[in-house]
Amino acid sequence: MLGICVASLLSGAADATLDGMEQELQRSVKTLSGAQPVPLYFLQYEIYDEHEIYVNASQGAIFFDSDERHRYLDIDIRVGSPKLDNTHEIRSGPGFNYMEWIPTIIEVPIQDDRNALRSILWIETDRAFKNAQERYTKVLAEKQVKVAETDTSPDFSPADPIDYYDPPTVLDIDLFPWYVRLRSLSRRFCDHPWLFQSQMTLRAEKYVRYIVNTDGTRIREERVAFRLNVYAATMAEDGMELYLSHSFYATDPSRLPGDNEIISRIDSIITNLDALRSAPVVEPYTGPAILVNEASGVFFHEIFGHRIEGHRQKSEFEGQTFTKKVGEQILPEFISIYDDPTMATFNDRDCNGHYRHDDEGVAAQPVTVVENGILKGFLMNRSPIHGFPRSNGHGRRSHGKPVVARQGVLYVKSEKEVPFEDLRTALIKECRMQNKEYGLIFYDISGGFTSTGRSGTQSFKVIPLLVKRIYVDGRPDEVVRGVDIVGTPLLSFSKIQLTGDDYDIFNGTCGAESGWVPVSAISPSIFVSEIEVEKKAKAQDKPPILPAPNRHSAQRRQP
Amino acid sequence: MKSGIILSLLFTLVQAGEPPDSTALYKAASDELTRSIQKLKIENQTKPYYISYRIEDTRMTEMRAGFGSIIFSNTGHSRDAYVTVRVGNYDRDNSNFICQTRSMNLIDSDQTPLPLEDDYYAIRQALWIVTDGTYKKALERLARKLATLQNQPRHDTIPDFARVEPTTSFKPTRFMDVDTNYWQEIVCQASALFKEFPEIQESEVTFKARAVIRYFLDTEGNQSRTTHTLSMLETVAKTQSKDGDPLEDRIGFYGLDPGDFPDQPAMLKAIRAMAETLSIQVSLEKEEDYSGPMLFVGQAAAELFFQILGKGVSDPKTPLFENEMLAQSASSELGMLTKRLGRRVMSNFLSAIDDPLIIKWHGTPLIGHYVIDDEGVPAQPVEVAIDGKLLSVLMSRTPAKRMPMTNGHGRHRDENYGPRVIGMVSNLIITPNEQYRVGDLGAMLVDLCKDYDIPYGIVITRLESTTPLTLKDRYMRYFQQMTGGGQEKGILSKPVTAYKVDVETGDVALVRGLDFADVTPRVLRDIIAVGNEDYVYNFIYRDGHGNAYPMSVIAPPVLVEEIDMEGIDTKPTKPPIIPHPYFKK
Repeated sequence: MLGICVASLLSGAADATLDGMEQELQRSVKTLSGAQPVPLYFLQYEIYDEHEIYVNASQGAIFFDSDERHRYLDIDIRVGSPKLDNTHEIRSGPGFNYMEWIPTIIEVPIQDDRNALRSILWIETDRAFKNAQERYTKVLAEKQVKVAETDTSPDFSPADPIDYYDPPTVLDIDLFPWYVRLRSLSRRFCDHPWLFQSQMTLRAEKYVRYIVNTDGTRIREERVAFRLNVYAATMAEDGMELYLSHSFYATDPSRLPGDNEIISRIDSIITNLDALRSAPVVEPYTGPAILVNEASGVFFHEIFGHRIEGHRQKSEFEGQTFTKKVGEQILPEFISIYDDPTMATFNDRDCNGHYRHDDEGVAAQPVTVVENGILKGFLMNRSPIHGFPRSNGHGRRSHGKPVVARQGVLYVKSEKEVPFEDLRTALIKECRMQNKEYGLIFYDISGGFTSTGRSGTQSFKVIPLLVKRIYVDGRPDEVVRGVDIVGTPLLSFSKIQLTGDDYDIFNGTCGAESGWVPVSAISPSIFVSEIEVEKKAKAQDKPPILPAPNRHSAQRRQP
Repeated sequence: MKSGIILSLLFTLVQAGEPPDSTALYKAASDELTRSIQKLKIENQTKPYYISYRIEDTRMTEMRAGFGSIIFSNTGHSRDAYVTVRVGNYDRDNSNFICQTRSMNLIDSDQTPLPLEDDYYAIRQALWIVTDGTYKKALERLARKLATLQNQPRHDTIPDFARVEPTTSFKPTRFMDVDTNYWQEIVCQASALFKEFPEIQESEVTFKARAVIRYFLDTEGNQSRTTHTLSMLETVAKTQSKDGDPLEDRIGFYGLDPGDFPDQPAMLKAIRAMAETLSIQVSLEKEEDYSGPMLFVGQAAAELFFQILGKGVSDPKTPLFENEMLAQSASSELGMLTKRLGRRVMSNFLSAIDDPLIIKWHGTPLIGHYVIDDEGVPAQPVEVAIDGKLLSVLMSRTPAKRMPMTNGHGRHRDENYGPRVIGMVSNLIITPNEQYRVGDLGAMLVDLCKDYDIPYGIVITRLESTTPLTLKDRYMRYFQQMTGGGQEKGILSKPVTAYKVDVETGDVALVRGLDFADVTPRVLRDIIAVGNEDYVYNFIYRDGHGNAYPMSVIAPPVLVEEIDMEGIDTKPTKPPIIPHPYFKK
């Protein structure tokens, strides 16, 4: 049998939670590694301690406030052997397995109480182990009746033991000044009664991840995040819902911007929404366009980043856009792409996607995904794929979900950088060449959908929020609305012509099969010779019938 | 019984001369309501004929502990507005109709959060938008309802909405003072009791206390302000029998205020008793079947009356469904007796009332109490059954066949395709007119067994009560909604604690693993005798939609002539491979 190494670890810190986890881990392994018919070969406990403070204001009044702390437990258990274990993809069955899709939410005490914690670890380990054994039997049965898989890599890769300990800190924020500030900032929208929704939100979060596993790993890693969000929404006369938002992110409240910067962002959201609600609706269009830095970051995250996640190269259900393209040119040669979760800041801005260790107890590593246009590698968790036998620390999840490979800090680097004005010039020139009346500039993108699965079309759709038409004949730029960017990834990338020198970071949260994880995407603005947009689906309701009962209009009526 | 009615009268009398609410919250709601009924109208469309706002300002403390340690603890404040907009007229409007509408709109309908602060304009802004969204949805529903009716040649002519005399009632507001640290200690202590019970695998103790100040106002002139308080301490314990069947039991203490709970030693004693009974069940063999007389005592008797009579006389109106698929996915566990008005539903020595106005029953607070229902209608006592005959069902303002008026039992219910207000149990009181001493009931059980020539009779003391939806339940519900599946359940939940009484020796022994086979509402007519000790049962009824209603049932022990039981259908799992870490020292 495989040697299970539960090293006696000396992290120097006596931590009741880690100690309790480790004691129960050792006790479980002792018995379960000899259990029949199929023994355990890997066990990991991860506890996710989350403390969230949330305050939300609208129209000058506080709407919500909450301060909650939870601790959630994830158990990763593997039976069989790294070559073939219970996590192996099952290709038959009813297709979508509802039960496997339901997150396993297990709460453990927020107090450091070893007995209480271990009593839950014990019963949940028993449950997880029995499920693992049952699933392993199904995996074996399927092996007998199905054709061989294309990628015969093992199910699990080894990892070095890690001993890491962030000393405990307290989520320290004085909320009173924030109440005053959020009320005041949210009042700024009151002068614009056509905005039927507006919000200022502060979210202060501290997440502590405790990981103990049979590699001998013992981790306590903290992550503190402060996020200030501005949001407003309105509706065009034809019923199209329009919204814009912006998030400021920092690891310390003192690094959040001051009022002037926030107010200027609020004002630009108001101005842009005002322009949007009377903006013309764009007809389907194919032609040159610029994606401005943050929008470009989201674009790369959605249509490129998700396709270089390692597990997608292995699954028989995935489209595998890039699986067989390692060493081949997939992007223009002036573009390189990295994913580096160890990057804590970029241009003095904090990176939301930064972490030190992933959810499989592997140290985060910078990955060169594309170098000078040539595909070099993938984002890997501990599920090996052909040619990539080890994890590079990208196994991530939110609690309750199984780990898959995810992005951390995606960095699009260009060798062909020009000032933004030159991009604009290039756009107009290209429009003339293609005989187009105008090109498009995408300033803001909310996110999108990318279908990487094999059964659907291998296309993507991203949802632009703010788009302008740039006329060839020198007419002023014009805000337009009602378009989604669509296309297929390989073709879209081949159209990148030139980039700006204006790198900026998008900080957000990305949802996929392993849940929601914080991510960043850094990119310069990009100029593409051809992009395709189609009409957006829109709501059929009319705008609000009565005018807003707004304090501004009431005050105006007063003498 | 008498004390209940006297209290009701007191409450209905104290109404005149209360000053209306002067807060910015109330004024904002009132002004937006007035503006909406006067001006809200889409060109060429019908305007609303009725709008109501129910606003709930909720303060809540909640905590959970396991094995002596806090799992979660939180104190929160929230404000929500529930909006009704009716278009059409009282005879035919957008209500009582189930159809699917889009839900991805930025503009909310039916319900919205309100600011926590009394900021007049911010509150009006939120109400303005949700009223707009609800009105548009009402128009769409009415149009689709009329289209559906066109294709149904036979449909009832019962009006959709009942008229009422407007009520004004502003009760003084009350707050609940909850000492979080004290209750954290109590839940830790209570949950630490399980360190004495090695047979129990999992346990959790939850404490919740909430005070809701509720404002109701509508365009007919109904206006009220009431306070609804509730506190609960619930304990759940789980384990499995030696042969792998899952075992679970719960015990709850409920009150309008935490001060209503029994004292701490009494609560701990009751929790310990539950744990002891559950521990004994672990090593019991599963019973195969039983046919014969059965005695329902305490909680089991109260659940029996609630599950058959209480649920049976709730929600009497079946809405119209836009299509067959929706109708199939919406099987209700309520209303099964409402077609039996005027007929016998219980043995003729049993009567029943439902009276939300009763606050206490012989000193025990009743959590089903309220004075104004969810439609702003004053609560009324209802004579549900007299001498076994069904006289009335529980009504909201939605008329049903032969029940044209509300009787102040309207409760809001969120359902898959939008909210409804349905008639529902509050304080259900079973009043027998002949009673035996409980000991005599036992003797009657034994005699019946002898007549039937069976070696033992069954006494049930606890039936399974409803439990909060888990995350898994919610996902399953969602999937079932998509796939149209659903499971049929019996009308009576399975016994949690049952005993057999040996006919020869009179020995009483705990049994496990029996479930009811094919119980029908007829079981209430098969009651042949009742005891003289009322059980006051405060509990939370949790329906399959995630709604929770505090209720009280007062019921005597009952002897049923004959019930069939069979071995429970379970999915046994192997016992844990490794022993519990705490008990394996």
